[in-house]
Amino acid sequence: MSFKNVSGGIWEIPKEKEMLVPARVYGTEKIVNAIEAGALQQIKNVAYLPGIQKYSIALPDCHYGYGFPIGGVAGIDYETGVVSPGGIGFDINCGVRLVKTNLTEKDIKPKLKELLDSLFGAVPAGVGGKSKLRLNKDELSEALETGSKYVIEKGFGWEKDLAHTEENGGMQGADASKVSDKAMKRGMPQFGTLGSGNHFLEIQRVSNIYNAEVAKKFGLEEGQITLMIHCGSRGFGHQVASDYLDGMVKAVGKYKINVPDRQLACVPIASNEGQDYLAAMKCAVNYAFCNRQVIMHWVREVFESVLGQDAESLGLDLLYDICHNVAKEEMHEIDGKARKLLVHRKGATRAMPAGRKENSADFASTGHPALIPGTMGTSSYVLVGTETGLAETFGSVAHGAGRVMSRHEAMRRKKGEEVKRDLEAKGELIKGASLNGLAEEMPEAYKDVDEVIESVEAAGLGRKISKHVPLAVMKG
Amino acid sequence: MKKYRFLEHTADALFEAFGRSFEELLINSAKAMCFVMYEPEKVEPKEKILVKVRGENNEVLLHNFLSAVLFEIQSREMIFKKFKILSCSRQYAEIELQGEKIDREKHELKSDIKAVTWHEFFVKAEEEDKWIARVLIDV
Repeated sequence: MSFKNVSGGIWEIPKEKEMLVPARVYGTEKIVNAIEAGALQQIKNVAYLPGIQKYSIALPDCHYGYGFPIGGVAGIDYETGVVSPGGIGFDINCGVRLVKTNLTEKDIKPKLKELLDSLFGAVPAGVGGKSKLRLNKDELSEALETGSKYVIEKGFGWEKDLAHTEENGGMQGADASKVSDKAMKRGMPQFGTLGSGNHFLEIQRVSNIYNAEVAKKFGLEEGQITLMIHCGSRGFGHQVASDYLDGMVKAVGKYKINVPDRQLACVPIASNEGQDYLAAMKCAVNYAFCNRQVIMHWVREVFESVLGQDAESLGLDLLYDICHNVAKEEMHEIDGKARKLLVHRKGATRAMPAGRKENSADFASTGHPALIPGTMGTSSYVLVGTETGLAETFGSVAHGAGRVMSRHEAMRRKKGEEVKRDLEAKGELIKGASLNGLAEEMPEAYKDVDEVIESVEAAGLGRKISKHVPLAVMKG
Repeated sequence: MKKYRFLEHTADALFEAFGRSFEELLINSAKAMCFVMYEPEKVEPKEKILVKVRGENNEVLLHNFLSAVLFEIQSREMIFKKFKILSCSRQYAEIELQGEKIDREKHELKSDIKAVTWHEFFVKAEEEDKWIARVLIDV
């Protein structure tokens, strides 16, 4: 593979065959050289999508996926381009939420095990994890069209949580009539569940502050305890994506669109199929916002009951909730002119700098926090976006460390008990719904998250604000 | 004949399933997919669920069948051990799923799965009695 170095951490793969634009890969030389051949092919395949602007983008955590690579971004012209459900992924609005506290490690150390055990009791996780909250079809439809506001009005959280959630916790244009009965049936029992795979709930300590001014505005300081929730739209979103993708696999012929992988199946954004998918996708986005909102409410209840203080006095305020699998209508500058794009982010985190209208009032002067979870044995980061990021990646940064090892290989290397023992020897507490799951998610199965974040900075896409290390992890 | 084998994939579960007939391929593909989610040994065939699927060809039929099994697992909160073909053509199949409600004390559960992808998906008969399918499951 011949990469051309554009500058610093920015690399380009020239156009070839039917690619409509070149591809750009962001990272240190080490990161870029380690990208698998399969992922590189997927990065090039994305450049075939009609209407794609500037580049097919691969972020430093990029790895082999299906259709799009994970860590892929495509900005597609809204008037003339396509929407591709495979460019959003099955777990629509898989995302991360970070909750602050006014606690330090000393305050919770004696209660850490009790907190973890209680979280495990309060938040359903893993295969068959049963939700305590069952909505009927009408209630679910209302939640889908409203978002977090619906569950907050039912008592799951605080009104002020909304302004600290991307899209204020509710994407406009969601239409439950565009969602299949199957998606409703898969979604009903899973509303308020963590799921499995790489989804987790984590008690962390802020280990480093890199930008004191912005950290202060975010209310983050060294030694502070924070809580992170990572999950998505569960079977509901997976079914929405499957339903529409299956339809588009058939429809590509109708629109004479030539894509090199069926998983990239797409239709014009302006078509009925495209508009219906977007209305259903927005329902899945809202489902995931509700899911993380309900889970955060249960986390607050656990802290209240174990620490014997109310959540307000413990300072359990939501810092931010952000999607990393989604398509968004955004204005971006193309050849000096503002143009409306549908930005597909698959395993990519939006990071809009100060001055963009997407930022809510509290983040107008800083840009919103971009949350990047690491692995259960390393660190997570809070970043903010930059003008360079806006120009290069449509305001996107990495979404995590990015896998490098298959789940099978991980299980061959270590058993779940061993992974748990190793992490506990480092002083972390771990509780997983499945031991296999712990083995599959071992820290060694991922890239070095510090190198990924260094890559984001080297390419100028984002700025580090804080680093968070895990103290106790609940894996789904 | 081996029922299925898992191949390397960085993030998800990629497998090849085999069968002496397309019917057997359907069953072995479902078994491979379920193996990602749970160990089948302790699942008892207490309840029967009938699944009817259509597809314009073998490939779409298998894809739709696997998606239908996943739907039954997640919407009914059940897991299955036996798959019995009641009827099957190139474009339509009726399959009986035999299993029981998930019991987290009794069953060995592994990873939830999200969907059956189309990435590198194929079904082919290398010989009349040698069928193979490749399936990537998003986990």
